[in-house]
Amino acid sequence: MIQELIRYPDERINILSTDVRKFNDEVDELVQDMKETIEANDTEGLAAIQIAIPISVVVAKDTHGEWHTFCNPRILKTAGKTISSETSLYMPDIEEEIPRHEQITFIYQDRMGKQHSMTVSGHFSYLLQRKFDYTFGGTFANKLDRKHRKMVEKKLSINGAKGEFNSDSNFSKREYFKSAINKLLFFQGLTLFTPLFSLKKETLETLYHYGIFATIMTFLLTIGYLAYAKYEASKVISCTGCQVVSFTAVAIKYFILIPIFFMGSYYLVNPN
Amino acid sequence: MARVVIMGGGVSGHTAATFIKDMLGKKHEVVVVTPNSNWNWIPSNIWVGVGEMSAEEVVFPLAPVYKKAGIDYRQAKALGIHPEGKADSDTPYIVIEYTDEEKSGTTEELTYDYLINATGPKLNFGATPGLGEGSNLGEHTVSVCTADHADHASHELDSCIEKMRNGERQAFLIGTGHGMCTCQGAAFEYIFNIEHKLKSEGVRDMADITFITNESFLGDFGMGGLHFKMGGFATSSKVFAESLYAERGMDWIIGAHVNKVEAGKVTYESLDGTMDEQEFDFAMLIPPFAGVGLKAIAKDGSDITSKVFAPNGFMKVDANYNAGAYENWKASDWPRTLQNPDYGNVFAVGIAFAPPHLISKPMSSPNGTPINPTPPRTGMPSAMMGKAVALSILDMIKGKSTEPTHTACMSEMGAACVASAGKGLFTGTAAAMTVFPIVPDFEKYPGVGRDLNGTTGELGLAAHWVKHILHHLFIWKAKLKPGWTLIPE
Repeated sequence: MIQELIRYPDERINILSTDVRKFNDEVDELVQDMKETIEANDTEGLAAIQIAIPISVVVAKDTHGEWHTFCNPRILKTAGKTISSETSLYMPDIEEEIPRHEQITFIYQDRMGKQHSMTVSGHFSYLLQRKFDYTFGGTFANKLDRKHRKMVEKKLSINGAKGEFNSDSNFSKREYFKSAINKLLFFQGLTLFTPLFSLKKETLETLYHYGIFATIMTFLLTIGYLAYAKYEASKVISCTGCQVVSFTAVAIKYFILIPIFFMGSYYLVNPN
Repeated sequence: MARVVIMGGGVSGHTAATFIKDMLGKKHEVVVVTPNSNWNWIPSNIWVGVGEMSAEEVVFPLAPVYKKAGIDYRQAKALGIHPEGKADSDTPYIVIEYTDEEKSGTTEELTYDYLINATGPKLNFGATPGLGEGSNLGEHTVSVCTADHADHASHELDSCIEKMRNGERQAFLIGTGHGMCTCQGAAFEYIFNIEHKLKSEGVRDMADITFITNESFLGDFGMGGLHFKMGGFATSSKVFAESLYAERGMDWIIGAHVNKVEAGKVTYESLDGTMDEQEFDFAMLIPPFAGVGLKAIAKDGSDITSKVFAPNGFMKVDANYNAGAYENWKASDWPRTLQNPDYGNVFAVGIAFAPPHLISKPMSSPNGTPINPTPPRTGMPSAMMGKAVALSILDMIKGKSTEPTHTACMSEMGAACVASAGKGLFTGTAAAMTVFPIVPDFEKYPGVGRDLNGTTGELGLAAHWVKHILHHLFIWKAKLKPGWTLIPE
C-alpha cells in the first residue's frame, strides 16, 4: 500500500530508528509498502522513517533499476570525498551540495536476517548514505553548516513549509527563562563598554541603574528557572535525576556570570 | 547482630557499605573487603591522563573513612564464596587473602549473614595479544582505567607533545582494545581531552587522531544509541557524535575487534570480516572486562562456580539468562533486586552482576567473531544498585521482609552521563547526556523503546563545570563528609 511520506517540518525525522529484531511478515509488508511508495513518488529509495515507521530498513533501486532491501545497515568504511547535489522527499524543492564519500563499504541484513557486506560507489553510494542517515535520525541538513541550514529553512518557509530543523514539540518552557536572562545580560554587557565613550554623568547613572536592575532580575529569573525546571522535571519527565544535571549546570553558569556582570557595572559604569 | 560483608570498595560497593552502615548503626557489623587501599573517582581519571589533574586528586585512602564510619575494613581480595558453609557449620563464609604489607598473603575465613558482591571487573588486558598479560597493562599502549595507569598515560602524552614540538608528526589511536569491550564513553571522553590538550599546547596540527571502537556506529555507547536534546533540540547520538568528531578533525574506525597489538601497530578485524592495520605512536585502548575469578564452593566441597557465576565470571542474579535470540529479548529479562537466585542472602551490584544479554544489537563478523559493546553498568546505575541492595538488606535484617524490598532495574532506571570534551575553566566543554530507560523497553515504549521525554543534554562550558563540580561532590560524598547522604547517586 502506498504510504504517506513525512514532510518537513516533522520531529519524527530525528528519531534513531530501532533495529529490525524479528524478520517476519511485517518486514515483508513494510518493504512492499516502501516499494510502492517509491514508485508512486517516482524516486529511487526510502528509509522506513520517511513513512513514519521508526525501524532501520532502507529500500532502494540501484543505477540498473534493481531493487535492494537493507535491514540494520551500518557503514563500516569510506573512501574518497566528494560533493553530491542532492534533493530529498522530506524537503521538497530543495537542492543542496552535500559532502559525501565517493565509496562506502557497509554491512546489512537481508529480509531473512542474513548478514552481508557490500561496497558501492558513485550515485548509488550517495543515495545510500542519505538513506542510512535517515535511519540514524539525520537528514542531509545535518551535513550543512549553520548558515546553509538557515538558508534552507528560509527557502522552505517561502515554499510554505514553515519550521526549523530538529524542531521539537517537547521544547521546554524553562528555555524562556534562559532567553530572558541572556537578553538582560547581553544589554548589561553592552553598558560595560561605556568607559570607551565620554558620556554624561546622568547617562552613566541611568546605565548603572539598568545594571542593578538587570542583576536583580537575572538573579530572580535564575531562581525562577531552577524552581520551574524542578517542577517541570517532576511533572513531565520520567527521569528526574537526569534532568537535574542539565538545569543545575545552567543555573551555576548564571550564578557565576551575574556577579561578574554586576562587578563590571559597579567598577566600569558607576559614575560615583 | 548481623554481619554484612561487601566484596569491593568501588562506586557500587562503597555506596552500599556506607549507606548500610549509616542506617544499621552500631548494633550490626559491616565489613568491606577490597584489595585496594585507595578509593578512586574513576570518571576523573581521564583528566589525570592528560595531565590536567594529579593522581592524588582522584584518590583517597579508604582506611580512615571506614574507621570514622565504623566499618570493618579488610585490605584483602576475596578468593571464594562458600554460600552453604562447610561440613561442620551451616554459616556461609568467604575466603579472603590480605594484600596489605602487614598481612600480605595471609588467608582468612570471614562469615557473613548477607553478602554483596561488588568486585567490579578484572581488566582483562590478556584477552588481546600484545595489550597486556592477564590484568596487567602491556608495554605498547596506555590506559586510563586506574589512577596509576592514567598517570603513566599522561607522561607518555607529554613525551609525544615534546616530539611534536620538535617537528615529529604523531599518530594517536584511542578506543577499545577488543571486540567485547564496554566503557566506550571513557574512550570518547579521553580522545576529546587529548585533542583539547594538543590544541592548548599548540601542536594539534602535528597530530593525526583516530578513534577505534567495537560499536557498529558512532554514538552507540553500548546502549544501541540514544537521543538527547540540546537546548530543546532533539538529536541522535550518532548525528551528534559524527558531527563532533568531524568538527574536531578526527577520524573513526567502527565495528573493529582489535586482535593484536604490537609496537606502533594494531591489527583489527572488521564486522565485514576483513583484517586491517592501524599504526600509532600513542594508543589508549580500553581492555575488555571479566569477572574477578571468584570460586564458589558447596558444603560438600564441590565446585559450584558455574551455578553461582556466569561463564564470564560475573555473578548470576534475578535476571532471565534464557532469553535466547535477540528478537526475544525483553526489558523484563533484566534483574530488579540483584539477588542471587540460589542464595537469598547474596547480591551482586555494579559490574559484578551478570547481565542477561547485550543492550546493543549483537553483531559478529562473517568469521564468527563477536564485535559488539557489552552493557555499560558503571557510574550512576551501579551506585543506584548499591543503594537499592543496601536498603533491601536493611529491611531483611530488621525483619520487615524476607524478600528484597528495593529494586534497581536498568530497564526501569535512567542514567545521566557528563562526558568531558576538554578541561579548562573557560575553555572546557562537556556533553551532558541522559537516557531513559537504559535498557530499551519495547513493550512500554513501542517503536524506539525509550521515553524521548526522558532525555536531555547540554554541550558546552556549563556542562564542563558540572563535571568538575561532580568530581568534588562525589569525592566529598565518598569521604562521608557532612551532608553526604543528601548528595544523589
